[in-house]
Formats: sequence, structure tokens, C-alpha cells
Amino acid sequence: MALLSRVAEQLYWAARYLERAEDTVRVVRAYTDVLVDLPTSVSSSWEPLLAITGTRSLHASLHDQADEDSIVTFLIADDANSNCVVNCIATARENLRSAREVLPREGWQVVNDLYLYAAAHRSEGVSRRSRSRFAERVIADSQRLDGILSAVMNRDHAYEFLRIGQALERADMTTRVLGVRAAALVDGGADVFAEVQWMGVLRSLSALQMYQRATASPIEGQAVIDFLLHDRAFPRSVMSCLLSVRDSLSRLPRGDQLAPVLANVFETAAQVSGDATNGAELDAETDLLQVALGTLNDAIISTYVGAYE
Amino acid sequence: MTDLRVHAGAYDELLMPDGTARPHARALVDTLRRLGVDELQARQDNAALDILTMGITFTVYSDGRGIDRAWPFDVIPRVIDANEWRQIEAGLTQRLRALNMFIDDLYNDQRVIADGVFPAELLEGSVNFRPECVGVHPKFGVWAHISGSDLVRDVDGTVYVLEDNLRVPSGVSYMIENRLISKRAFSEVFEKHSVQPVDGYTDELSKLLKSLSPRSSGNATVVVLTPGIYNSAYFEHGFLAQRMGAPLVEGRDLFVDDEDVVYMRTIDGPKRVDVIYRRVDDMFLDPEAFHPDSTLGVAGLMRAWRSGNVAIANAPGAGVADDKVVYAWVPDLIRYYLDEEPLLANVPTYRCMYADERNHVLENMADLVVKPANESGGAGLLIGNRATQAEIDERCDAIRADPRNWVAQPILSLSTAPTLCDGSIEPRHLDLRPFILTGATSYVTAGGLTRVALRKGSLIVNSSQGGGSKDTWVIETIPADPAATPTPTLTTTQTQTQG
Repeated sequence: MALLSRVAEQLYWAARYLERAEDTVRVVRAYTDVLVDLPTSVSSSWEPLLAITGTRSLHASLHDQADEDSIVTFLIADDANSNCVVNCIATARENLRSAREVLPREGWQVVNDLYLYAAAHRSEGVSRRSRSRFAERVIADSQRLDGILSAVMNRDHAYEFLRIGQALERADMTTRVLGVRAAALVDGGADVFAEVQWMGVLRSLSALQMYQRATASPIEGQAVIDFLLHDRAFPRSVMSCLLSVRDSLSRLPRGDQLAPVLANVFETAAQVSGDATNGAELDAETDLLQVALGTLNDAIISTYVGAYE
Repeated sequence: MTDLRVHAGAYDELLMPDGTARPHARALVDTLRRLGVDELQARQDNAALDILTMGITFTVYSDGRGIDRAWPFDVIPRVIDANEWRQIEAGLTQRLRALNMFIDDLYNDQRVIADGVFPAELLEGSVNFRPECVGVHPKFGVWAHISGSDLVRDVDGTVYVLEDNLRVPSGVSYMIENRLISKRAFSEVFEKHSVQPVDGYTDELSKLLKSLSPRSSGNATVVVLTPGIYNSAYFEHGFLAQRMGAPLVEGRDLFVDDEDVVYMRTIDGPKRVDVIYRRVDDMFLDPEAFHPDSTLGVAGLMRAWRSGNVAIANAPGAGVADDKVVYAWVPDLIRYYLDEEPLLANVPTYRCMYADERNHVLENMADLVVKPANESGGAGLLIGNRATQAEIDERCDAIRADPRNWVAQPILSLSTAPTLCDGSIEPRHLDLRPFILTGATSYVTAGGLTRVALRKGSLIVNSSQGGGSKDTWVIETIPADPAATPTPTLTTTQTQTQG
């Protein structure tokens, strides 16, 4: 059935915002766990979380303090931050509300239910004691939606827009985590706690167990970067996300028009060497990848939405 | 055993005046008594939770933003005997056939006026007559394809049509959702009663809309046109689109080209639209034809419709027959167009434009409801026995100043049904909105949406003003039941005629 351009865009953004909410709670949860593992003598800062989510300057403009409470509140439940988890969920719901006719009914219910939960339990998402439970609920509901879509939704154009939104957001977050965390860690390579922190990187992308299974080797910077960027089997790697986008575009009308932009993203990703000894270079390379992903986002919107405005 | 009370001076839908169950409600009433208030309250709470989770809402627009409120639902169903329902159904079908013939006549030959049945001056004064529609002949001669008449039952059991909603009536989605919720709450009673299902409506609606397509070839493209998320019935618009597999479009998703053809903007380019189920009021449909600053509609839509390139349901201008003064003529219109006696009662209506009827009104204000002709939703309504002398005097002056704008009716007592109110079961007033589809054939929902005034003594059933809703069961009674008592017969009440 024909898909309205407006609905396509709403599905795309709904999927992105839901993935953003899920990714944010994953990162916050993993970071909390890492800090707990570090001895108190090691100075710990929560600021990398702001860097990963790209909200450092917005946070600084609103808050004097950059302590745990201020930053976690900002990321989970601060109305001034449109990308906080509670707002991401609300935005996703708002978008899906105007696209309900193409979404399986149970799918809408999951998102609506999550929205009600997140709004009512926002303080629990912040408090360290209950943070993890809140995160689990967000992740579980996001996965429930995945399950419902995968089990009962037609593989039509609407489905592909949801998939593309999710894959691009996921690739974006993986790239950000790598850029910020990995670059900082690579520079402090000799740090005795490096292993704990690399573990945190993997955990924040829910990649630890699959890394271990795929590489059967100790946790080591270069291998982690390779795995998260280039592994074709792990579904949250940048490579897997890009393959998923390519697959979806091949099922959409005029998807071939986007082939050059997509090829550029693949190329940029391949060029991230992941040189574990050069933090600045890794940082710069992941920045380039971010830009390429942004260009793909714009090209998709203008091809399917902007063309008929 | 929980006690169920009857409201003195009102007909109760579940109970006889002595408090025993009406025959078709027996299993339900037994269950209510056996379960008791606490268990009913528990089921009510579960139902409220389901409604919240499923996102069944209505939207209230205030402070510049739309606020979603959970749909208010009372867990105790309202029941109707299927034998009685068949008569109501026939009456509604008849009414809508006549009303559609009337609308088609008004926009074309105006036979009804030439034959002296309907006064020409009323048409001239009608705010709902659209000159832009003159000369158009929609398929099957039908203008009001989807209507939702409001029915009430007076103390003697007579069912009256209170209003014909021929423009964009809403509520049918809640009728269907209420059934889903009450099936969960009362699965054991459904086993004991033969309750007619309600969710065939959306398939019937889909079939009707497709049948309106101006193109004979291929599968018609049907869309639902909504004013957007701030509309109070936005939930319903999405619900109907979802159930029909039709795109839910806003004005900005559509455009009309130079050939007067309507298209929607899809990811695959423009796609032709054949049928629009519009939930946007006439005046906002097309800025070229009506309000030039409306952003809700589609520029050129009236051109496309008049050229026969797209069907619009309900047709623009259908509201001309949905007017409190026209209402008084409906029994005459049924006789005129169909040569049949009306099967459903019309509330006797005094038309102040005629001197004798006006004098009757002015002398009996305390016993009447006085209504302005062209307001909707109870605005300007004066209930004689609840008004002060000053209010009555003021209204009398208004009637003398502009008699054509006023009608009056006797004060009806709305029927009641047991309703769960803060930990006890109380009788509360209610009405019923069935939905009628008219095309090549007619279809009436099994029952409809029951709206209930939750405040004690209140007659206001509107959900934005503290009204709730109930599931409505049309129940097949077992003919062999020896205890069965006859259901109230529907009497046809003639309108007051002049002279």
C-alpha cells in the first residue's frame, strides 16, 4: 500500500528516537557500573556521557555543576533536554500516534505503555538505586516492539522506514561511543584500569559477551574498535547497521538514487583504521563517519519527504 | 447480594420499576448482584488500566495545546432487546433514506418546496445550506453516508430521535473499543447472553466508501481526512484508518492538480485518491471555496468533487438537513418522499415561526426546552423547569424578536441504567448514538455508543463535560421464555402542525 511521505518521516523519526532512548539508558547504565568498579582514588568524571550524547554545551548552558546527579538527570529526565530519555520516548510516541494506521496495534500499545511508565517513573531513572531497573524497562519495551514488528508487521515500506531509522541511530551511537570513550582511553593506554574501561565501552553497546564469543581473546583496545566498527555478525556494529540500511533501501522506490551517498558512508567507515595508539586520529576519523551518517540522513529525508513538499 | 436501585420518574434500561430484572437483562442483573460492588469496582479499575495502556483517549483542547484524556467507561453494560432493536433499526434506516432524498432534492429540483411541504424561507435562512453544492448529484443520491442519530427514551418507554447528526458524527470507535474492554470484564456474562457483535462496522464502512469511487476500474483508494492531532476525535480518525487499512491524511498530504484530480503525496510520488472520508467540517474543507485562511483542508477539493473526480463522505452541504428547525419536518419528509409512516418517534417540536405554536411556547415556558435553531452541542439551551423567571422573561423577548430562530420541545426524562459511582451502584441518565451507513444499501450498528451522565441528576452525557460511556448489548432473547413480558412498543408521535 502507498505510504504517505509524512508518515514515512514520522516512522523514521519514531524509530530513531526510541533507539536513542534505549542507547542512552544502556550507556548510562554501563557507565554507572564502570565507575563502581573503579577505586575511589581514580578520579571519575561523568562528563564523557555528555560528550557521547553530544550535549556538553547545552548542559553547560543550563547547569553550573557537572556532577553525577546533574548529568544523569539531564540525560534521563530533564525537560530542557529534548534528547533526554523521557523526551525521546514522548517524541517517538507522538510520531507514532500520527502513524498508527500503519503500525500493528500491539506495537503502538507497547510504546504508549512505555511512555506512561517513563513519565510516571522519571525520578527512578535518575536515582542510582533504581537506575538499572528503569533502564531494563526501557530496553525491554524497545525489544518488545522489535519483536512485535518482526513477528507481525508486513515487510512493506513502512517497515523499512522503521528499520532504517533504527539502524542509522544505532550506527550513530556506536560511532559516538567509540569516538569519545575510545579516543580518551587510547591516549591513556598504560592505565591499569584500561581493561575495566574497555569493558565499559563494550557493555554500553551490549557487546561484551558477543565480543568475547567472536574473538575468544582478552579485552584489548584495537580488537574492541575493530569489532564495533567492522564486525559483520554483531548487529550493533557500524558495519551491520549499514548493511541493514542498504538492504532496506533496496526495497524502497528510488533507493538506488541513494547508492552514492551510502557508498560514501561505507568507505568512510572502512577508513577508520582504529589505530589504538593514536587517540586524536581515531577521534577525527569517527567525526568524519558522523558527518557521513548525517549526510545519509539528509539524503533519505529529501528523497522521500522533501521531493513532494 | 447487592441492591440495585431504580430512579423514580425515569425508565430504567435494566430494571423494572419494582427493581426486578427486565427479561433480556436477567443474566446480567443476576451477575451484578452476585458480584457485588467491590468486585465490580475491581473490574472497573482493570478496565480503566486497559484503556490507559491501549491509549484509548479523547482530546481536550485548552491553553493552546491538546490534552489526551483517558476515555471514560462504566463497566456495567446497557442492554437492549433485539426485538425492539430491529424496530429501531428499521426506523433509522427509513429516516436516513428520507433525509438523503431531502438533501438531494434541496440541491437540485427543490420539489419539496414547490409542493409546499417545506417552507422556502427556512432554506433561505439556513446557515448550513451551501450554494457551492447546488446541481451536484452524488452517487446513489446519498449525501449523508455516515450519520449518528441521538436517541433517548422517555419515562413511558418511548424511544425518540433527539438529533440527526449528519455532518461528522463521532463515537463509533469508542463503541467498538468498549466492547473489547467489556469482554474482558464480563466474559462470564457473554456466555449466558446472546449479544450481537459490533465490530463489523469498520468492514461495512470500508465497503460503503469503496462503493462511492467515481472510477469503476481497479481497487479504489480511500483515505480518512483528519484535521490533525488537536481534534477531539483524533483517536477515532486513526482507529478507523487502521481498521480499514486506509491512509490517515491531513490536508497537507493531499493536493488537487489542474485537471481537478486529487492526489496524496507518497514516498513513491503522487497517488490518485478516489474517496475521502472527511472528518473536517465543511467550512474548512477547501480554502478556495470556503474559509480562505483554513490550513486544514485542500485547495481545489470542491472543484474536484464537483467535477466528479473524487467522492467525499459525507458530502459537503449534507448538514443542511441537520438543523433543529428542519428536525421538526422530518416526519413530514418521511411521508412525502417515502409515502410511509415514520417508524421512530420525533420529539414534538413547536416552531416559533408560526404564531399559534409560538403562543403555546410563550405560555408554557416552564414545561419546555427552548433551543436556538443553529447552535450545536447544547449551546443556548433553556430548560424551563430549571430556569429563573428572569431567564425565562429574557428568552421570551428573544423569541418575539426573532421567532424563526427558536424551537421548543417538551422536557423529556432520559432513561437510566445502573452505573458504578464511587463505590455504590446508582441509576444514571443516558442516551444512545447508533451509527447508520447509507449507500446503495443501509447498515445500522448493533446498538451504538451509550453515553451516560455520571453526575447525579445530570442529563449531560458529553464526555468533555463529565459524561461517561457504557458498552451497549443488543441481546437476542429466547422466544420460549414464559416470563418474557412485552417490550415497550414504539409509538409514532406526530409533530405539532399548524392550525
